[in-house]
Amino acid sequence: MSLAREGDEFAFEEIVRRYSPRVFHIASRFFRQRSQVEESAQEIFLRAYTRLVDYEGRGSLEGWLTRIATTTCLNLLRSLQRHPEMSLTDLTTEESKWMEDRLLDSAARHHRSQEDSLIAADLADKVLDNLSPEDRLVLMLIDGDEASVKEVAEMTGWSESKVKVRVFRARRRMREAVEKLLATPQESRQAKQRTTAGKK
Amino acid sequence: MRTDHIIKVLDQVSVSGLSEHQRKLIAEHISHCSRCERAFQAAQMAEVLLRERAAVTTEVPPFFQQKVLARLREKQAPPIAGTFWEMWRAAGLLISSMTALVLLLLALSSFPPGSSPPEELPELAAGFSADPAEGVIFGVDQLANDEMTYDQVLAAIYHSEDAR
Repeated sequence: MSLAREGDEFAFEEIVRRYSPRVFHIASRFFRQRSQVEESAQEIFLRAYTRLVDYEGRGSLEGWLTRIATTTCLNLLRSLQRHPEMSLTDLTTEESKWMEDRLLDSAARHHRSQEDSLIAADLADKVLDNLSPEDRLVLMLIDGDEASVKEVAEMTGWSESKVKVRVFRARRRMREAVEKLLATPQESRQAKQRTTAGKK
Repeated sequence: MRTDHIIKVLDQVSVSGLSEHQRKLIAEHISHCSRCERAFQAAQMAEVLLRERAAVTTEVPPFFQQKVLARLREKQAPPIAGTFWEMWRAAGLLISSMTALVLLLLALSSFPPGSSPPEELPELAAGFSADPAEGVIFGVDQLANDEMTYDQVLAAIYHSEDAR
């Protein structure tokens, strides 16, 4: 670490090699496309390099990098154009079917194919796009990764109270967004089919 | 149970984090409250979506470290000398002063000449001293728009002879 701080590129390269998986894990919470994840990971390490002088050695290097990764990804996500509020017609046929299947068998743990998982992940991204970057972060970490409030507070630099308030509001917003999707799925699918038939 | 009570619980705790007692109360409530039943279903589905999304990982691509270092070196490299902007900033004062000088010269050259050319006066003087008569004649000829009578010409000639 001290060598990297003095400008030793080999030492910094070793830091990049060692902590890339962690940084990629965090970046993938924010971005879905591989190119975006890689781009943001590069930005994170470049920013870390410029801030090496600020690292005082308190706490682990991984924790310090995690915090930089979180704030960098938040800033990048804020700068991206937000998607408009999604409507029922924005769902694909597969996504609508996935939701209906889940409603019918929501309690049981049924076998999920890889395709189902990808459909669910795409759908999750669509719903999360309706949330602010901060809300998305806390939900992904607490409900997605099962991180504790304390861990999230350390990553973001927020107080634990702020994290709790954020996760409360984020859950409500996500639940309301999913409720809208569930409101009339059958009507939506029929409308989509009519639209598709009309175009043909 | 109040209608909004179950919704508040759903927002405070994740579905998987509900205690047995809470699950029991929710099940009892949603059996006669369709509004809360939809909220509970949405909360369950939201959590499933988040878990599926969290399961998506992106592996570190090969040569990622080299890409980072390459970008780092690119950022640290000095700016390219001789770019137009650097040259403009360095030579701005010189260019501005040269432009002002050119404009001044253009302004000065655009004023028309106000009097007769000075080269004509020495010739006139030379004409008088070398040969007064001819000088007078030449001088008379060069007088613009002057018409002299015959007497005036003679007077001018003889006056010059008397002066010598």
